[in-house]
Amino acid sequence: MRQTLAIPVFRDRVSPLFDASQVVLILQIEGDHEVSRQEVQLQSQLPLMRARELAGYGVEVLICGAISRPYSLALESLGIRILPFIAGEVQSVIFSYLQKQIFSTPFFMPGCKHRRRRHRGRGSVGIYHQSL
Amino acid sequence: MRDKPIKLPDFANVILESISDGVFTVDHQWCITSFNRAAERITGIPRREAIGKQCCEVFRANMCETDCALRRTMQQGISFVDTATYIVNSEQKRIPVIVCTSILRDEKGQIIGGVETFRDMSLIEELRRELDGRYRIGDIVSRSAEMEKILQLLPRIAESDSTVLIQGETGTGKELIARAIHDASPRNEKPFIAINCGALPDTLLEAELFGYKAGAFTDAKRDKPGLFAAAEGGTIFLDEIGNVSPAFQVRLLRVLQERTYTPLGATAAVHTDVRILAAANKDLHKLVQEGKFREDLYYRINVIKVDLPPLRERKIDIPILVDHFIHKFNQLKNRSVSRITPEALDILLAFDYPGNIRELENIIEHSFILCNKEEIDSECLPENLQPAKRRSPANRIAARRQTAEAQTILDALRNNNYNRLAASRELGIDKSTLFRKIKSLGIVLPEIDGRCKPSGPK
Repeated sequence: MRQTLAIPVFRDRVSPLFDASQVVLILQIEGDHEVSRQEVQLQSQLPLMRARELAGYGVEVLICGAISRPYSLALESLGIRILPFIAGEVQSVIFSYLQKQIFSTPFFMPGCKHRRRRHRGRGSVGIYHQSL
Repeated sequence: MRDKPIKLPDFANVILESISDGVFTVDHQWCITSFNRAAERITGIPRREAIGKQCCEVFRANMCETDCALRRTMQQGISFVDTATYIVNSEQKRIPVIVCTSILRDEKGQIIGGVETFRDMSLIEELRRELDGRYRIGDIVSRSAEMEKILQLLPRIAESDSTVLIQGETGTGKELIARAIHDASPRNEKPFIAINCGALPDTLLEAELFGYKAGAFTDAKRDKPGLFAAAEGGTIFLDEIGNVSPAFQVRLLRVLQERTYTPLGATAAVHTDVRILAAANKDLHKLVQEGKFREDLYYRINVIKVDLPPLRERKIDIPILVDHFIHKFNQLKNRSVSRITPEALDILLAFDYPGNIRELENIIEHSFILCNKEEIDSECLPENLQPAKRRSPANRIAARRQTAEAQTILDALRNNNYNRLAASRELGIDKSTLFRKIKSLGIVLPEIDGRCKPSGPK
């Protein structure tokens, strides 16, 4: 099944704060492999506009670093599932996501290990139980 | 290769552990090498998890990616003080902080990294809001009696969940009022979405508000949810509703009456749970009389009406609005302008502001660009204020005197619960003089007059 994934990027790593990120990597994923990718410059600053921009690219899942409440609310309102507080090199994060290993400890931002039971996004049953 | 950990003398560690400001140090690879107790408390991150990690992934400030103060310090070799920003903790809460950055050198003077100290400003922000509380709700600041009446009603309007019509000239802060209603309402955890209905043609407005299905038109390759879907459970603010075409008025009426809408290209109607706030810069009742606005829609929207006065009728607010905008632009532009000079304020008080508060905000922003000092003087104000600038000193004195008089009278009235007689005694003037002054200075008073006791619930 195809899925569109977005990861905000800063110097080859997951951008530390989605609120201020400028570049997003958008990937088409099928099963456990990547079909295509493109890097886009985010044009909007405001939460809902930014969420709509991602929705315009068909994004269904966002893997990001820290994200403040207004931005996560805006994304959730458009049905985008969020996997927040992820840090690390983008390539390793993508690989781990495809291998369903994204929630292994090395990818958590410092101080965020305890966030694992948060529910994110419409129809999601929790960020740790997503199906690819 | 990572640098060796920075070893601080024991006494330095004792000092760092005892202060209330967060402090961390980084090496040349931007990895955290020390993290004091206050830094743990403010960020909520234990030291053992922070050490060795990239500072931006620990600190997570909105300036890390675009305008990192520590990076600038390391590149330019100069310290920065009191840079305002916010960080996001693991609860997704924004914490306002101010940061200072410096180069870190060893005993031989070699650069071994950088140091960043940061102060949690949450409490100060909260205190500032409380101090200003008499005049402020959200981003609305006012001390005029007419605005105070509106602001007092706002929590009850917010609670009611009814449709609200906000009327006022352009730039009077209609969207701010709408946002304040949303923020104080039970829907405040859900989205607030504003759209200017006057800016879009019918078809585009329909697609924006209601969304469309794939195939609804040539470029509709996939379903797109509209703003009503995006605002589900929250609030939608329809600005310039008086400019909507008669055909679209019918569609809006259906949403208001039946709480349903049909996305473009869809066959089934969608139920919506969104509170609607509408605004107009024209008198909608007049448009109804002229046959330009549907009467049934007008009555659907006009459940509660809020009329915002233009700035020229609440000039008493100009000094605190100027302070508010100076504070705002200091934050946005990383400046430290402390005040406006009395001469410049005189000029602002004499102006009529056809563009209302937005125009005043633009004037202050313009002044920030032109002034490179710590205060805004008359030279920094825009050209269109020049005629007012050349007013005689006598007129300037009169303008200042009127503002001071209005302020003194309002303070006396408030002190005496708006009892005019008691206020006139406090001011040492006759009651009829007080009434004359109130009228000539354009002071708008609340309905209460301080003579009767407030009636309790029946």
